[in-house]
Amino acid sequence: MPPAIAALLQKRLLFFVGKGGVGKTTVVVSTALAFARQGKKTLLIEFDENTRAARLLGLPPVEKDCREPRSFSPSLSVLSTGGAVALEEYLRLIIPVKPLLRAIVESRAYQYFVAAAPGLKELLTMGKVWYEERKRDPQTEQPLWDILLVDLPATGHSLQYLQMPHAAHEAFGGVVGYESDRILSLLRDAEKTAINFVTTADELAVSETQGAYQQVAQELRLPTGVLFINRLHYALLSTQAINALTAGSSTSQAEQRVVEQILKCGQEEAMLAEAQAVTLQPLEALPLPTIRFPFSPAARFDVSTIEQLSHAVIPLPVKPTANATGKRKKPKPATL
Amino acid sequence: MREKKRQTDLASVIAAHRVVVCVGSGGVGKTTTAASLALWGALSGRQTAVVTIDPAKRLADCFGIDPTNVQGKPVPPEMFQAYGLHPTGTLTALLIDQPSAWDAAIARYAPTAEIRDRILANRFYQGLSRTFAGSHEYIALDTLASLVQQGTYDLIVVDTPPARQALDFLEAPQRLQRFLDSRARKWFLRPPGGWNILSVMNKTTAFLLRKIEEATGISALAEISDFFTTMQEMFDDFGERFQRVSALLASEDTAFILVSTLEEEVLTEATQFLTDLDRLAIALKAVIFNRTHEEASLSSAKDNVEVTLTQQLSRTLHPPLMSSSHREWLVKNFLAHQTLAHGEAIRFAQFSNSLSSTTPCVRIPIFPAFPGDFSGLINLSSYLFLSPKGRKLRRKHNENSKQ
Repeated sequence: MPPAIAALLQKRLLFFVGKGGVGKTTVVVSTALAFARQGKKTLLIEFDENTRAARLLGLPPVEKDCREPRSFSPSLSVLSTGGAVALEEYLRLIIPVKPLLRAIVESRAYQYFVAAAPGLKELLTMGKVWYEERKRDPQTEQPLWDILLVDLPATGHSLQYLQMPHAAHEAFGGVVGYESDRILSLLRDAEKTAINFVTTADELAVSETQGAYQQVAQELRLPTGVLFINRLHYALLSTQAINALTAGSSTSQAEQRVVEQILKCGQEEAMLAEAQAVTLQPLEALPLPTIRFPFSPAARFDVSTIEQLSHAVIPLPVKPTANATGKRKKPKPATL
Repeated sequence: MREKKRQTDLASVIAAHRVVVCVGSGGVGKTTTAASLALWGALSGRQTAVVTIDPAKRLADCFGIDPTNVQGKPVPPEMFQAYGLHPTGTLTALLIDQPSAWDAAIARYAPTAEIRDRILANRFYQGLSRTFAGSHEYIALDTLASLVQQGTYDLIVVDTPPARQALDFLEAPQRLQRFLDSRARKWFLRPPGGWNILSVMNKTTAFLLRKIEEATGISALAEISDFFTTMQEMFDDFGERFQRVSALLASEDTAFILVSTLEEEVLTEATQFLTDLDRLAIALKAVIFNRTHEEASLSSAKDNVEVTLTQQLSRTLHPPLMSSSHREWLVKNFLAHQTLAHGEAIRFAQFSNSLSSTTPCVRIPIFPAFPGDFSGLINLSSYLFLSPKGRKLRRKHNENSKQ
C-alpha cells in the first residue's frame, strides 16, 4: 500500500477538493471502495442534489425525504446531502412542532432566507459532516464510521465550505457561533482531518489546484493530505521512437493500413503522455504525496470500472481477481 | 452524408444569431470552444465579443491581452497577421473577474458614493458577491446586458459558468427577479422600531425570523437587513435590466450551443440538459463534441485480435522493434483506443438521435496538447467550420506550424 494512503487511513475525515470535470467523484468513490475493501467502515458524503456518487455505485435516486446514509455494502455507505436539507434538519431541532415547521419551510420568506443567507447553508452542511463524525454505536459506543470521505462541490464553491466555519466563528454569535467553533476545531485537527486535492493534467485544473492548495494550506491553515492526479495517459514508447517507425513493406495494403493505425494511436497516446508530464510540472513544487489514476478507456463507465480504478489507490494484495466479468462484485474486507 | 451536412450548418447558425450562448458541464473545453466560435465570427466580418469567466487567465494569454484589463480591447491585428489571416471583423475578449465585477456593478447602480461604500463594506454583500449560488451567472448576464445595450458588437459569444444544473444560467434572471421582489424585500428591511415590530408582519415569517435570529445571533440578520435597506433604491433599475436580458435570451436573436464530450458521465448531464431546455421551450441550435476518438476499421478477424496484431507488427514494422513488450503495448493501446472510440460511436448515435435532424452536430478529434495558444484556436475553428473557409484556415494553420 502506498505510504500516503496508509497515512490517510489513519485519519477520520477526508475532504476532496477539485475543479469541476476532473473526475473528483470518480476518485472519491474509488478511494472509498479501496478503504472499504480494507475492512474500514466507510461513509461517503456528497453535497449534491445530483447524487453522482450514489449513481456511480448504482444506488437508486434519493427520495426527497431520505436523509440517512444508504448502504452500498456492509462496509460502505453513502450520504447524499445538501444545504437546504441540512438547514431544514437544523431547524427541526429548534422548532420541534411538525406542522409549524412545515408551514415555515414552505413559506416564501424561508425560501428567500435559504437563498440569501451568506454561508449558512455551507455551515450547516459542514455541521452535518461533524455530526456524522460524532455518531457512535449505541451498544458498543464505538464510532459508527471508521472513516468519512467528503466529496465537496467544484473548487471555488468547496473552498467556501471549508472557509465557512472559520468565517462564522468570527462573525456569528449564538448557537451558530458555538457550532462553528466545534466544526472548526475538527477541521483543524491534523490527526483526524486531511484536505485532499484532485486534478487532471489539464492546464486549467493544474492552476486551480495550485490556487486551492495555497488557500487551504496557507490561508485557512487546514491539514492537507494527498494529491490525486486523474486520467493520466501512459506510453511505453516516446513520440520520437514511434515517429521513427513505419509500416514497412507488408503483404497487403489492408494490413499496412492497420499497422499505420496502430502507430497513429501509439503516437497520440505518447503525445498526450508527454504533454501531460509538462503540464503537471508546476504541481511538483507542492509538498503533497501523489496518487496517480490511469486514464480509463472503458466503453462504459460503471461500478466495475470504478472498482478497477480503486486498485490505483490500494493495489490488490495478491493476484488481481480473475478477469472482470463486468458484473458488480461486492467488495469484501481484505484478509490481512 | 447527413453528418457532413450537419457540420457545414454551424456556420449558418453563427451567421443567423446575434448572441451565442455556450452551455455545458465543466471540463469539456467550453471556454476554448467559445473563443474559437468568436474567432470565426471575426473572420466572417463581425464585430465580435467573447464573454468568459477565465480564472486561469489562459484565454488572455492566448489572445495576447492584458488580463487585468477588464475593459477589453480587440485582439491586435498582428496576432491574426502572424498566421496569414486578415479578418474583416474584430475580436474582443471580455474576461470577468467575479468579485470585482460585482463591485463594478454596484458602483454603476449606486445612486450616491455613500450608498456604494456602505454596500461594499457590508459583510452580507461580500458573502453574496462571492458565494451566492449563481453569482457567476448574474455577472455574466449583467455583462451581456451592458454589451447589448452598448451596441458595439454584432456578435456576442457567451461562455457560461460550468454547471451541473446547466439551467442555472437561464433561470438566473427569474431567480433574481424573485429575490428582488418587493414583497420579499420588505421582510428583510429593518423595522424603524426594531425587530419587535416583526409581529405586524405575517406571523409565520415573524416567528421564523425570530427563531433564526436566536439561532444565528443577531448580527447576521441585522446585516442582511442593512444590505436590503441600502440596496432598496437600486433594485428597480437592476430588476428591469435583467428582465430585458431574460427576454433577449428567449428571443430569436439568441442561439444556444451545447458543448460536450462523448464521455458517458458528461453525456448523461447533456441529456438532462436537453430535457431542461425542452421544458423551457428553447431549441438547441448546435452541439459540439470535443476530444472525440475515431474508430479504425479492422479488416482482420475479431478472434485473437491481440495476438494477430502483435504478430503483424513484428512482421511488418520498419525498423523492427526489438522489444516484444513495446509491440504489445502498441497493440494494447490501439485496442483500448478502439474500445473507447466504439463506446463513443454508440453514445454519439444515441445522443444525435434525440436531436432534431437539422441540428448541426460537430465532432472535434482529440488534440494532443489541446489549444493553448492562438494557433490552437485557429486550428479548432478550422475543425468547427468545415466549409471552404475552414479548409483554407486549416491549410494556413498547417503551413504555419511547419515553419
